[in-house]
Amino acid sequence: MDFYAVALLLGLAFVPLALGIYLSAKVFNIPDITTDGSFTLGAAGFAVFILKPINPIFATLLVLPLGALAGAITGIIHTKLKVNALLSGILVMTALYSVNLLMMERSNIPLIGTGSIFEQVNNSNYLSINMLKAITIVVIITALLIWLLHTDFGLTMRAAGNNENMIEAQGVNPNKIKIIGLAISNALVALSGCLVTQLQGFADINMGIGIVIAGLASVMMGEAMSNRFKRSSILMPVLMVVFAAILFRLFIAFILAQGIEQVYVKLFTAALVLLFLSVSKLNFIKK
Amino acid sequence: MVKFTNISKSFTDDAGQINALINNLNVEFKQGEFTMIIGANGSGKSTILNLIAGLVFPDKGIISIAQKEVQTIKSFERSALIARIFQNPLQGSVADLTVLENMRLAFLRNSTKGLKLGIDAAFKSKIKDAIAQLNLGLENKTSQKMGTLSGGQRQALTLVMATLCDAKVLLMDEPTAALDPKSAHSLMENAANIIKEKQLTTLMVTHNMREAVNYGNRLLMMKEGRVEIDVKGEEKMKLSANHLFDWLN
Repeated sequence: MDFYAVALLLGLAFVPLALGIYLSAKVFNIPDITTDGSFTLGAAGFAVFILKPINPIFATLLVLPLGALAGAITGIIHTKLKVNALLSGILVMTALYSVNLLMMERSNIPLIGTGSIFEQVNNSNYLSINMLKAITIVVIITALLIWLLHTDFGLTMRAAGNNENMIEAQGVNPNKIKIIGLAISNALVALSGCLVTQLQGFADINMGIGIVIAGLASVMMGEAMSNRFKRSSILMPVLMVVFAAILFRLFIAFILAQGIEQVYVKLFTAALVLLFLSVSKLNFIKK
Repeated sequence: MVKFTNISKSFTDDAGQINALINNLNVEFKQGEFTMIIGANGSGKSTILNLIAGLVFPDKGIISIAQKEVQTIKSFERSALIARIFQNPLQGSVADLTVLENMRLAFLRNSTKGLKLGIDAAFKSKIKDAIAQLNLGLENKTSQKMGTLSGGQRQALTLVMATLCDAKVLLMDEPTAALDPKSAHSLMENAANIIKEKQLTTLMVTHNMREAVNYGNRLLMMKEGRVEIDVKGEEKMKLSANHLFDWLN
């Protein structure tokens, strides 16, 4: 059972990633691949801070502005230099690989016995305590995001991804909104990288590779589930994305438990995203 | 309210030819004036609206709105003064947001969009009252997504959105072109009422001669970037659709 509990814990740590990708991909309609770099940036940043040493809570909070900066740079490249959104993300992601490696000074930093916001394995109750902490973090982040999307500023963000002409006619500079949105999105992604690093006990330069697809899988699953509810509010889609992010990790754990090797996980993830993408296009089958 | 002084705007086509869209235009629109603009395609009708909205900038000349020169101010910076209704009913509102949320964005046009939960009971009842004036029964659909409504309904709500905050100028570019005759009629009646009530300086481009005759208190006919015919008040009242067809031919 501990195996699934650990998977559940990891799923909770991946919730900010899914919410960040929901924000860029669904709210802003921007395919932002900065994610792969900013996830590792969150992990690398935390590893560097914690070895200083800095208090684990501060170290965790400090990765937020790091991720935001990465997202803002992508936003500026996209809106001010008029580079295609996908390409802007790829550029920043590529640059971040060097930045992350320079910060870490080696490709892998073990974090066993160093500070963490989570309890270490030697505490007998570590799973339940960590679960409680992770749930608290997820509830706070989710509540903040739902609140933000309902504020006047949040309405502007949601409108920006949907009808740029309209918000310009309402006196809003769409570029500014996009930059802020990508900053928030990548701050969440960096937080996710930082949480995952603390749970698995190491930071690795390659841990962000393909992470955007894992996040997208949760977003797609969440969207498919929330469509069942036919509600016009944004509350349900966000909650379903949270739920899907957790479910997705449990699903992967289940697959691994069946004796399928870890190497297949990314292949499986990509296939799953393709499935969700095509099912939404082929929904005439249901009729 | 809106004044064009010696405005010219041209563009260079693929062949390198310079084409004048607007040719040394001098015209003034007074407060509360509801002007219909007709003319053949390419006569410069929509360019006049785009120049006022700031989507295109003039090559030379001065545009002033409420005594302020605006010819170099970006569109989102002058939007406080200007409300717009587009030909495509889908363009004026956000499909994925509810009617109320769209209204909230429109209401905030002149103010900052801060971290406030703005849709409260007071706001809801204010919006319901405004929508009820349309007489379309839409006041009960305010929590629906905009995308679930018909083109005519969306265009009517866009009209409410355009007038929610104190814009001085209303620009309408063929607002009824995509609507069925009944919705078009209802939209024009509602627009005429709102324009009169709020004393909006309104410019409307149309290809519908009946609308051009029946609504508004001024009519401009554009030809090759110039004002060919300009009639107001009493004289405008006497016009019939046949007059306009004669002029256009």
